[in-house]
Amino acid sequence: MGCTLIIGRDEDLCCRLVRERLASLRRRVVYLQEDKLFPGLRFNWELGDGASSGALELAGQAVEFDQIHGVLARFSGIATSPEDFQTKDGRYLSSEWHALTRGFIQSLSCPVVNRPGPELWYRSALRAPDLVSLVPELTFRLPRTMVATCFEEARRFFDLAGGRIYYSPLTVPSDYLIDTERAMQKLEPLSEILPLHLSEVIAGETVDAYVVGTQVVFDGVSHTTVGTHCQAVAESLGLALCHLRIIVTAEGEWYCMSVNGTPTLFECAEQPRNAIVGHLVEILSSETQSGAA
Amino acid sequence: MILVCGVLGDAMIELMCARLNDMGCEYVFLDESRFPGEFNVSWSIRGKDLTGYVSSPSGKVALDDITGIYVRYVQYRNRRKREGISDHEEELIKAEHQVCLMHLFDAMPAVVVNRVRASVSNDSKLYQQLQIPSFGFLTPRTLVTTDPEQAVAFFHSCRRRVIYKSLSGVRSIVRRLEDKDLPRLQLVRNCPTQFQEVVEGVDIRVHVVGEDVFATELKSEASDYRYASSTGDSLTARAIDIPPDVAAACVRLTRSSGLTLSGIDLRKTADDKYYCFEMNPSPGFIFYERATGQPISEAVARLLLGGPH
Repeated sequence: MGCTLIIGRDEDLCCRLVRERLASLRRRVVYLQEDKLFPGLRFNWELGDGASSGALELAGQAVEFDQIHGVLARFSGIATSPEDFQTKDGRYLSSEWHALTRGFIQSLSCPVVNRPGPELWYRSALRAPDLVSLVPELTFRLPRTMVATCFEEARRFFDLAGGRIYYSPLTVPSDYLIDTERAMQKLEPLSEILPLHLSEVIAGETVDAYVVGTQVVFDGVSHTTVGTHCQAVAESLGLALCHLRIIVTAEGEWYCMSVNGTPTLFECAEQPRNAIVGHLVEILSSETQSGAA
Repeated sequence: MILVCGVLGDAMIELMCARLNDMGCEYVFLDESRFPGEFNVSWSIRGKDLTGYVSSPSGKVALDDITGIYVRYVQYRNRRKREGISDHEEELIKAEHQVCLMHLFDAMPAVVVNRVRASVSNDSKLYQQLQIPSFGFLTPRTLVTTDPEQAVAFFHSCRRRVIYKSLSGVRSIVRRLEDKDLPRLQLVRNCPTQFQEVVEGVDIRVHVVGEDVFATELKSEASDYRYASSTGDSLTARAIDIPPDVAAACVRLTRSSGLTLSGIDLRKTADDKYYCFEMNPSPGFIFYERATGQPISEAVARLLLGGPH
């Protein structure tokens, strides 16, 4: 009997909802909770000369690799508790787990959500500095963006942008509005220890679009005309599931502010969230063996 | 203008700076141990255009004027500890600065040796092993397991000729599995481990630089020749020619990953078959260059002069 494999964490709403939906449909699910795998996970994978086969078992749930019909891969690559990750062995185990899962999901012929290329292994929230190199054929506009390690350049950018910019750490997906002189001054001491990643504020309507396989789900007003552009971005990045935050200006210009390959669904309204989960379940429980996702 | 980015304590950075000096190439060295501060970057994206500069104590270089970048993504060394900043915060600060440079080099149209986005596949040897056969190389029979019994069975089915090594690039030393190790296999329950059937043959390290191929044959009694000196084993290295189809496959493998420089580990069997173990995106070729006289750093320097790539 075929099954869906879910690799993730309990606190991940997407994992939880997909598991619940699959259970309600009486689909077989094997769930690997990545921070509680070792010891306990029995994993055997033999490969060589193009052939690959194996099986895994956890807490009495066992599955041969060729019985897996779909994988929801939401792992972070950290296979320990936060405390253990601070240790050398904890970090080593996590490196090995990450290396294993990247290879493992690559070897499967079934749909995997997501199975990104190495260029995305360590990036989930993509903004202008990522998108300019990863999606060179992007049809959306990108906000004017600067990365600088000296405050004078940041000041010039602030003035040029009319005194309204965002400061965003490069490694953390959060934005801080800088729209007063006082807020700008606070960046000066920060510039001594951190690079300043700044972007212009785009005025307009925010559109949240979720690409799920061949479907695009809008959280809010649907903008079906832009759906194909969203799908093109997802396809270019090799993502079966992603969230695009877009802003459409009064002049009708479309800006892509970010692309997230691991959307949490927390910020999503119930109806679109249900639709996203439904589409994910369709992809993951398909009986056809396809590498499309 | 060429940009070299890293720390001077790294022998590869020292070698490349010396080679560029020797060849009379203009270059700027961005010393990461003094970045930011004495060295700074500023770059901006407008539309799809990237503009900006790198500044050093000797002046500013516009990004447009940079034809090639040689970068080593190493940990910062001897970084002064900032007052009031915890170790965890210090890690985050280092990550921000590294990402700042990684994003810039990923986005620049210049030749980059190597872009980080092309370099990370080496973090999963299994991922690489799945890609390699399509380039015409053989890969060794491999077991990845957390099951001690399966590991023992594999050991015996390979006639006790098995090595073990990490799955990632961390602690990546190849060791021979011996009978005396079998009781320790219980430990694989705690961490997935990779076992491979020993492939008998001669080690060949191939360095691909753009279209140029430099092959070095290595002979050693050590399971991992890279550590021969620490295990007291002998090691000899000599430059060799490899068949054109094997060289072409190495170039294709390198290019398919988006790399401009790679170090590929091959083993040639007695019946002239070529196994490929992995591809290193940041090879420390100084050892091979010194042992054989192959002009690898010169080839890298020429690549860096080459303009948009």
